[in-house]
Order: sequence, then structure tokens, then C-alpha cells
Amino acid sequence: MKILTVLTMATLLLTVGCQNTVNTVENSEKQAQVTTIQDTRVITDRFLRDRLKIIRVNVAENSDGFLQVQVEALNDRVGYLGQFWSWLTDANPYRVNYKFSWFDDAGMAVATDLSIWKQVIVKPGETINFRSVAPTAKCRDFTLSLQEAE
Amino acid sequence: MSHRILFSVAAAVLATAAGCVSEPEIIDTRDTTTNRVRSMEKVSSTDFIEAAEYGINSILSDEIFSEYLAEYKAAGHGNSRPLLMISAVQNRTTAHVDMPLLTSRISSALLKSRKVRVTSVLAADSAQRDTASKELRNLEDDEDFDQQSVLQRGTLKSPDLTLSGAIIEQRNTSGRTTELTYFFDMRLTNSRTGEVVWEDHIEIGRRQKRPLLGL
Repeated sequence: MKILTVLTMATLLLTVGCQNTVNTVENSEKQAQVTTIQDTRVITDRFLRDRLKIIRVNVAENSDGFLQVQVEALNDRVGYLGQFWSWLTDANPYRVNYKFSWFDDAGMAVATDLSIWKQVIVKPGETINFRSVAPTAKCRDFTLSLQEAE
Repeated sequence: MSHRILFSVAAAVLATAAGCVSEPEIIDTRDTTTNRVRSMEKVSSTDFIEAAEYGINSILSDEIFSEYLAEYKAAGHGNSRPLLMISAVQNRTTAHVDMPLLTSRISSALLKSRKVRVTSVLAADSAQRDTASKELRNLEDDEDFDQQSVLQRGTLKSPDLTLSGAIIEQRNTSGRTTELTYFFDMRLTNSRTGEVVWEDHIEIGRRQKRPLLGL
């Protein structure tokens, strides 16, 4: 029984040592006039969905009529156990690959140099914004693909 | 007999070595993530792709550039778009760099976006310059050509905008660790006034640690 207690204490101490997450502070009364849209998600990786939580999808149009998209996501793996698990699985820092695809007003995918796979590092507890602008003013639809980096 | 054994062993070694050669593999050139090779010696293909993507995103969403376009239309150009010339991008790195790998991506994206038109008559890099437009106007004394079909002089358009910039290499070494960054500086200049109507930069870096022993 004593051994179990010592082991538990040691594990807890280890996990406390692993805790290294992001704290944030922001203005509580927001001034921005945000246009948040409904989104459709296709989930094939539930681990990614649970770890990188999509908070909201904002769109805005610039004065030329080009659509801009911002997908806000949070690395939700915080807390002792989450950090311990990340340390065990060698998943820190958390790297995510992403790509925007754009579609014209006829729903056809537009081949553009804006549609490339890129990688970003997201710290535990950090909020990240994936941003892209439409390659033409005719593009009204988009897809953001996300993948955990190997 | 011993020669036969030696020959068999040599043949077996050769066959094994030949088997080790891997077939060329198709890669996704639009994937800039870790499965692409990044050199510690020169700017890699992925760096150009990333820098161009950043530049295009920045131009297309830039409000100052949108204001310039609105002013251009208001200045009697109607629905016409400004003409872009691909000017010089300075290479401040230690290796040879083919600048069209960056500028061509940006200019073609801008052309497709219908924000600008692009001229190939004038360009800093010969790879992006088409000399035919000027040469075709030199046929006015050539009797082999129907002179009515020969292009008139004074019809080429002077550019309204120029795309220029620089790629600057920064290398820092501390102990066994070397950090390399490439600073991609890009700008669009109103060639009529010399004013910069868009400017941005991206820094792409990497780090390598030499092993304690060995090369």
C-alpha cells in the first residue's frame, strides 16, 4: 500500500513538472463586428478533433469583394494528465498540417498557389487562427483540411 | 574453385546493392510540411512555395493595395486594371537563386485574381521576359512580310506597377547548433509616383544540430 502511495505521488510530481501551457488575457467587451458562419465538419480523426477544438469560423469581405476566412482553434490538451499523455506519446510540441481549398461560384475547385499544405506549431492552451483569402472575387466557398503532423 | 566462390559472392553483393536502389518517388510539391527536403545550404523549393503563398495572401487581402486599385480606376482608367512588371528581386544569399520561383507564382496569382494585368515585354529576369513583342515591330523593313500585318510602333504599354524585393540569408551558429533564416522581402511600387502600394515580408527558418561525433 505504501509503495502504491509513493508511486502515485511520484507520478503526480512528474506530471506537475510536465505542465507547460499557455495562459491568455483579453478584453472582455469585444469591439469587433464579427460575422460567424455555420460550418460543416467531416471528422476522420477523433483525436485531432478532441485536441484541436474548432471554436468558430469568421468571414469578412474586403473592399474588392474578396472573401477572407479565419478559423479559430484551441489546443485543448491542457491539465496534468493531458500534458503527461503528450509527454508519453512524444506529442509536444503539437504540429498540425493544414490546407485551404477554394471553390468558384460554380462549385469548381480553383487551382491556386494558395492551396498548399503548411505546418503550424500550437502550444497547449494556445488559440490559433488559420487564415486565407479567396484567390478570386468569384470564390465564395472553401474547405480547411487539418491533419496531425507525423 | 576459389575464383568461382569469389565470383558468386561478388555477384550476390552486386545484386543486393542493386536491390537497394529505390525507384524515384512522386512527391506532392504543394506539401510544404516535414516530408519535403529543406537544405541548410540554400533556399529550398518549399521556402519559395511558402513565401509566395504568404505574399499572395497578403496582397489579396491588403486594404492599402485595394485603395490604390480604387484610385487607379477613379483616375480615368474605368474598369481597366494596372499593368504589372516583374522587376528585380535581389539575392542576398550565398547560393544561386532563380527568382521566378517566387515572382512567377505571385504574378500569375495576381493575374488570375483579376487585380492586375502583367507585361512580359519588360522584366528583370530573362526567364520572364518575352522579347517577341519588340522584335515583331522590327519587321517593318522586311519585304517577306505583308506590311499591313506588321505591328505598329507605339502600342506597347508602360507598366503602372513593379514587383520587387530581396531574399536575405541570416545564419547563426552557437556550439553545435546552426540556425538559418531566409527573410523574403516583397513590395509593389506605383511606378508613376514611386510610392509603395503594398509591402510585406516573411521569415522562414530552420535549425540543425551537428552530432557530437562524426560528420
